[in-house]
Amino acid sequence: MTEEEIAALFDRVAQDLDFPGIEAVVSEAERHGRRLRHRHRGLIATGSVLSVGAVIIAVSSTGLVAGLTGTLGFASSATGTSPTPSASPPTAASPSATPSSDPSSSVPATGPERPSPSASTPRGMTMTQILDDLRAMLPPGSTISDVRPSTEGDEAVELDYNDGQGAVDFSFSVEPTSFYQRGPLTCSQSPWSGTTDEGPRPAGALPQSCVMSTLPDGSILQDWVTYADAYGFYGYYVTDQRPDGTVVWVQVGNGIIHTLPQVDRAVPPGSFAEWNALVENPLWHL
Amino acid sequence: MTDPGVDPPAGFREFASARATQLFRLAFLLCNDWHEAEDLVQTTLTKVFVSWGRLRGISSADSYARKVMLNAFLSQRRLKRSGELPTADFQDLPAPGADADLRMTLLTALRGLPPRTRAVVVLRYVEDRSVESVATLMNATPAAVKSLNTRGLAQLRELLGADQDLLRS
Repeated sequence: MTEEEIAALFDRVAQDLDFPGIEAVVSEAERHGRRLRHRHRGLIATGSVLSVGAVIIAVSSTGLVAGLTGTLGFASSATGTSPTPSASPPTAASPSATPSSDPSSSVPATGPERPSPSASTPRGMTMTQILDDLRAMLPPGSTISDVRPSTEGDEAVELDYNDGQGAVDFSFSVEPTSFYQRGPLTCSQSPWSGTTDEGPRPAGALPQSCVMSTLPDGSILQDWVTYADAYGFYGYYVTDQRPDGTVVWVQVGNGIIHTLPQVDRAVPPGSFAEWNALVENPLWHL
Repeated sequence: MTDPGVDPPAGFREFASARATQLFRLAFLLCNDWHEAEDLVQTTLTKVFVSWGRLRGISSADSYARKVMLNAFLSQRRLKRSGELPTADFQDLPAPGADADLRMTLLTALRGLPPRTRAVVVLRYVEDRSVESVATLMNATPAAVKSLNTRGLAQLRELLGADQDLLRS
């Protein structure tokens, strides 16, 4: 039997397979998918992380590090090529560690003064504002492209960034959510909690992890290395939950997934030290 | 802003409805079980729904759907460690059609292939995909796919054995 005959045989058999349950299966997939998305959004609203799809910027390692070092005051020791979940600024805690549950007992801020949020402010920074500030922080020579509205809201930006070493997805958002309504971030309440890889992680990829820390000003910092999706796409997900109600998060992937997937990095660019510094920057405000 | 918790993402239902039969055929040939194939399609479409916002264009969604389905199928097989010995008992087959004998023969033979080999053969000959495309979907090298394909074809020919005349009819 030739290869062509086998192909024709498969074709005959496949064409004879009807699927009468399409509508029911599609509806159920929608219903279940909606529940999953809702769960993600609900967890975001209670102080956790969000799905991979929100804001996407492509960032590369060394160039970004250099740029961020200059702009955000990063330690010059940051190399950006070997990010470690427990990178310097905050004191790392175990993935199961829970920060103080009483924000009022937090140590007063010692860092740069942050603008006070207005309780009546309905939204955070606009996409234009976020973009302008991000551009100012990214290193010279890097490029940002495919800027698009985020599916997660006006506070977020989605774009591709490339410093010449390849684009990756990068997400960023500044959200105006009450610290007290959200409750403190915890690893166990995150949508990433309990997730397992959908596909193999790239060789040399970091394992899933979650590190919690509390900053001197009472902010809670959460550093995730997320699960890998079907393409081996994963990323850093860093969230800064501030006592004033501002939540700033950034997600940096190890490739591009929002278009035809190109996942070609073992680890996402940058380090947690750099991404922590980015979200902690007092520039971000409500 | 559209709340994905309330409204289905634009275009998803059209995509899912248009592709469900194709995905089901692929699923059924992979797992040889009607209900399992339905579950596989539903799992796949659920994940596509969740990721819809970041899948740009139909080709991206198509590719993603197949990747999800393959991973789900192969991980199920790893978990079950079923061995899946060939058997003549197909309790979940669809109602017999004109090609019922042909289908039975082919499915029996397919069931005799190891899961990864089966996946390669189905993708190559049902989906008419190139070696490179299959390699991408399966996170394998083209050489590995070629090797699995060659072995799969040889095994299929052997398993089909005397039924090859029926298949040519």
